[in-house]
Amino acid sequence: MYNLSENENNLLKKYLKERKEKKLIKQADLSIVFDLTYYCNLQCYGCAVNARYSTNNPIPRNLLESSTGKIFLILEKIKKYLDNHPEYKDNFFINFGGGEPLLREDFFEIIKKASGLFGSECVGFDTNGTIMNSKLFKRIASLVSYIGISIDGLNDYHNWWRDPHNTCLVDGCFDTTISNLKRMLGLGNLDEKVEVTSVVTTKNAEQLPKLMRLISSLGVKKYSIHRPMQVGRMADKTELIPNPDGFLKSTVRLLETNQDLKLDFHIHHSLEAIYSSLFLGEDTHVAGKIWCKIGRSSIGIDPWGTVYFCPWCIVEPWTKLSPGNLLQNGTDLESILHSEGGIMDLAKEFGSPHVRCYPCQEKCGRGCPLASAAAYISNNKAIKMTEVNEHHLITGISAIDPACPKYNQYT
Amino acid sequence: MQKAVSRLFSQIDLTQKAAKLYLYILSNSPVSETQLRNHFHDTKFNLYIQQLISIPLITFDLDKNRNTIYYALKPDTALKAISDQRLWSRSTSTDPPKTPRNKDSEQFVAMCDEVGHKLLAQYKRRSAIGINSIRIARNSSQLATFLCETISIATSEIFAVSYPPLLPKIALIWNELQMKIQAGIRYKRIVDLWEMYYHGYEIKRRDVMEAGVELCIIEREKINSKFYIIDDNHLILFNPDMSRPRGFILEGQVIKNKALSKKFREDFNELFLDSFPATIVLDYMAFIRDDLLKRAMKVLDDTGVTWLKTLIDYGNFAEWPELPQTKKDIIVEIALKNNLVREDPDFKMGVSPNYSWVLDDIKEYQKATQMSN
Repeated sequence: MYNLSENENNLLKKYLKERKEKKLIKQADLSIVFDLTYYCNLQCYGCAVNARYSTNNPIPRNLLESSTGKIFLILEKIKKYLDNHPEYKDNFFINFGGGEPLLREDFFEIIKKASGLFGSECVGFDTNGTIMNSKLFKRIASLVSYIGISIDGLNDYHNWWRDPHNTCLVDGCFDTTISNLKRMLGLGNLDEKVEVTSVVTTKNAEQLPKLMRLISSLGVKKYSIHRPMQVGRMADKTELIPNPDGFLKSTVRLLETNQDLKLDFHIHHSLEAIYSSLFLGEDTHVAGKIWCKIGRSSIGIDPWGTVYFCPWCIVEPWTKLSPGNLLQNGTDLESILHSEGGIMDLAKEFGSPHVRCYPCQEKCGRGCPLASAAAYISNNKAIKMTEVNEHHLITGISAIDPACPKYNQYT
Repeated sequence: MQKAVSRLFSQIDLTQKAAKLYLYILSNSPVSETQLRNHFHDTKFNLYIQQLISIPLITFDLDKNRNTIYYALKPDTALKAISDQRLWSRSTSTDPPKTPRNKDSEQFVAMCDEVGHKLLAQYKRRSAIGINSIRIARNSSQLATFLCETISIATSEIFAVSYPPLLPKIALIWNELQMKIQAGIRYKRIVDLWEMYYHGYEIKRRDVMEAGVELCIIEREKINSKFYIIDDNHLILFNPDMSRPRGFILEGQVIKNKALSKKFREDFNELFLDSFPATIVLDYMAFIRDDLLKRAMKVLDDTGVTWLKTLIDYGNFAEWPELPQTKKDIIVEIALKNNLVREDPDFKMGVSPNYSWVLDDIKEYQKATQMSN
């Protein structure tokens, strides 16, 4: 395990303590990641949902997304669920993703509908930042509280990651996104809502502090680091997954960089859970949550209303564990989430302390069950991806998170 | 009763203190490790616990806070398994599982039976089944006890798909299954051909014809998962990959979940439609058995033939009669040379009956038999 210096140790502990306090106040009890489309203008190397880009052989859009009416119906079913669960009032968040959601012509209508149903404080979306329509963003500003823009490194890396085969329509993806980011921040009312996000890999970890400085100089106030999940197109890219030391070092370097930048910065919650246990001795496990046991239940919904117990589970082979579909007759979110003996019941138990990471004795909120299982499947050469079944998925979930600094000690 | 218990425990090499610890766990299950240590101050605590687990009379699990908890297995089943195990391992007869052959073993069986039933009065049936809906087994023995316990709550159906290696503590599991079948619970099992000759002709015949197991055979490559489903509610999943890649430790898990059980039940039904009834395989085994024994009579003496018959009938459970090692070596050498047996590291004797068959051979045999009839 990477030995932190005293300074690094203090920095990390300070960060974890602050995050814990902040999370206790702000974290949504239920969050939904709703993918509006699997159409995208880019072809990201590690796209977790296998979003499609097409010019030569256009794929009919109805195969990549559903109609406005169906999206509205799904939103209304979510609203109905929330009405029956006052405990989530003011404690709920819906984030739209994709694919690239801004490619939907009805995107504004969807945001408006969601904001009307849930309130603007509870609505956000993620975009790759290549599409900028000032008029649209001005209209959207009052309807959302979060806009995530993914930038994964400096010029060369970002362009390679976004368009590894030079087949996309967007030339100079990095420059386009940075330019759009400037315009967005120039609108005046979005700077508190925009958050730049990066996925850390073995190839970009070194340059993220520089990226952090760059976006800070542009006026960005929020920055977060996500971890690569071995699902979708990332499933077989094991060489890009940082080892436990890589994750830890990268976190510390960014915390150091942020000492003078003072951005509102955070790392992936699964890493926070592991580090909180190891460096603060604090167990962040929260019983009763679905899947992620570290303060919130987070579920995924695809464009056709299929519900998944984790937003990362919406691609094959994980779809085998879907608990239900909101567009099916007679189905509602209540029955999908709370039917006794269903998959969601199981998901509630998956992250519990008695289920995972044997033989580690740390009192820990555990890392990410999905990352554990995905790594187990991807790294196990005996399992062909096309043959992965429920058995493999269920088995891998209790494995140790490969980002945990104690991973090598037990494997 | 204390006396009877002490006498029995001394016969299975358990000290008085270990026995005392067992009785405490029996009447207080589940007991946390902290609670046990507070109650039982002894420097050999870990040793006693390990003994009780390995027999097994108790098993362990983690509670929701990751604390270790211990609880007793159902004492009558656990002790019957111990007596069966002893009969099998000490038998020198050609018919090991049926009846005890000497006074000592008869007394031991009776003692296990008596003590097992008496202990039921103290047994507090509160296993971790009721505590956690997912239970992770760290090793094969623990998985065997979890399986046994889950079978014990079956009320209607048990379905199993299996392939090698088999779990240890087989007597424990079999006793529980037998009790359930006798109580009218349906037990359907799908296995590959390997299990047929690993368990032996006579044992499989008994399973199917006497015990009432609905056994079916399928090609190994068609089996993707090894599992049990109990009452369409509990799923026991075995580690799907024995190579144990990095970051992966569990041996198997017991999951209480209707939706997942249903998914695996669908898999079971598909396999079942594609499988072959064991009765036909048994017919074919009998045919091969006769052929092997006829050939054996030409090259082996009576002792050798009897040994081969035991190996065919009881598979890996077969025991050598009392013979000098040199004599055993000669028998094996002749049997190998005449293709009556083949080298097989899965068998404790190092050899298994020389069945060179595949399911297609059996299908052909079935066709031929039907035509001649």
